[in-house]
Amino acid sequence: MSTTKQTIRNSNANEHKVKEFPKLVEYCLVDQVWSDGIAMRKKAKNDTLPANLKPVEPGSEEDILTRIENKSGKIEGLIKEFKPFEALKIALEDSPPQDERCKSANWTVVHKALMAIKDVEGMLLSLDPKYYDVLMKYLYRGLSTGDPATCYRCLKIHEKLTEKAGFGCIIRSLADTVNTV
Amino acid sequence: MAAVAVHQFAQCITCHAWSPDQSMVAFCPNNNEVHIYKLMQDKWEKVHVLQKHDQLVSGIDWSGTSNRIVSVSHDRNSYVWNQEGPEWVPTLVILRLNRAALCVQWSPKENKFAVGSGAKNVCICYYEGENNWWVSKVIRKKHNSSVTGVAWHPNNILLATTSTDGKCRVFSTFIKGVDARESKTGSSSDPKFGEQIVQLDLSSSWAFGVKWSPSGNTLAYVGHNSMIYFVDDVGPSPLAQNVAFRYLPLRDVLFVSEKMVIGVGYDCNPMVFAMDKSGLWSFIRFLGERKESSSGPKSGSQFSEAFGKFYGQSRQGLSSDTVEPSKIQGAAHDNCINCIELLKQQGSKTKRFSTSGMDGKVVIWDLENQQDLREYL
Repeated sequence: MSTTKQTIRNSNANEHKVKEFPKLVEYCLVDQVWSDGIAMRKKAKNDTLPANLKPVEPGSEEDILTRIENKSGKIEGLIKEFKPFEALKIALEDSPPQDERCKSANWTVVHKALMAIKDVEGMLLSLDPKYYDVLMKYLYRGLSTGDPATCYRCLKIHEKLTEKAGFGCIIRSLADTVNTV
Repeated sequence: MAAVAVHQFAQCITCHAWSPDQSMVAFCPNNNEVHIYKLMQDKWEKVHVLQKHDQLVSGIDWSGTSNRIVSVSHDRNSYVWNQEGPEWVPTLVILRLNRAALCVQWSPKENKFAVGSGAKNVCICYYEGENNWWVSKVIRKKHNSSVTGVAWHPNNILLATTSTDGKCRVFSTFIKGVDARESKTGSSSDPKFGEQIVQLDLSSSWAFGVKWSPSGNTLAYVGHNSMIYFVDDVGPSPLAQNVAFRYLPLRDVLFVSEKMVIGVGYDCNPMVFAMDKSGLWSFIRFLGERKESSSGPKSGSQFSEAFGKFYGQSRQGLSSDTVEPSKIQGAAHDNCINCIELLKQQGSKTKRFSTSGMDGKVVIWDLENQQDLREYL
């Protein structure tokens, strides 16, 4: 398994080396990225962001819905050109949106891309490990639809994804109640 | 093999602690007692049974220099046991809790101990010589849910706690009269008791098993979402790393050195995490033997049957005939490991530790022969 190690070293990291005890400070991680078990180093921010773990969505719901529609168009194009792997990648980009309507819209897009995948092994080889957790969440959403064709496809992908990403991926998709799909 | 000794003591062990000379081990066999076993001529003999608690004993710690045992239980009490002659004499410590106590740890100087509880608070207890009893001061603020783990910083003042609200917090437990005021840290900004220094909101699920590195520079804790978090430079601007791994969640961690952490949990096998030269933490390997998987889920132990049925729908032709035996052969533990303790030894490099789990076994591990891990020790 090839892995890419990236170190993001903040140049200001050495500023506050004085061991003083400050007053009440709160931290949360703005973004967490997973790269095949190797962590991306992120600096926790000092200002009080709301305690959620995803990037703050720029733009309103309408903007997000428009973006999802654009994605949908691109994906249909790619599927026609027999490039389902790229289609899935584009579908999974942007962490799951917060709003219910956006979630449903995004799910439709991801569903289209998933149904077009025939070669599951190849797809997983080409997929960036940081999308494993999100993909697993969408698989469970697919399985919950009960539609035989969707379920069959999702089950096949689930088996291969579990082989690749392990039980930890399943656990994370269950435990994450903040970024649901 | 990294596991040097395996002892089956009971059906299930909730927690364990070693005596200062490592000759005796105290543990709770999933009931309201604390059993102390001593190693006499290659056999473990039960030498004491400490019976004072009414409910499950959830935490035991044995102080290294003063030879005192502190035990906390679901009956909301804690006792400090002193050895007088052949007997252990308990002293009740009134914690004023209205929920179970979940974890306990002696401070590095052993003049205080911290108790995490289901009442969403942490009790810091210290000894008052004039009245000859233990007083408890409670940190009531900040926690939104049960406190599952406590860990003392080497400076005896900072305490890190993990909670089921997913957050890890660091508090100051400076007590006048017990802790000496350090002039070099600047007396004007001396922290008050119970003041929160930092709150780390890295996990969206329950957090367990927090520990400080030997120098106190790094903090590590695990989340129930199969992730382990490493935080450097705990203070105004910490650097946090999330490491997601492929396996089942962990329950406890231990710093073997500045650069190596052992995590234990539901995979029944200790996992080694190490920091490379650039400061990135990552999963190295399992410590114990583990059957290599030819095709992921099929060779997992109790999962193979379930997965066979799960995927049976999509594999009409194939029969799920490879039903593996229910035990992972070669692994030391059969069930979840929920406690890991360091074993002190002569010499500066720490290499031995012990784990206990829900299978009732205490396993002693030695890193001496693990060549690939030498560079991290």
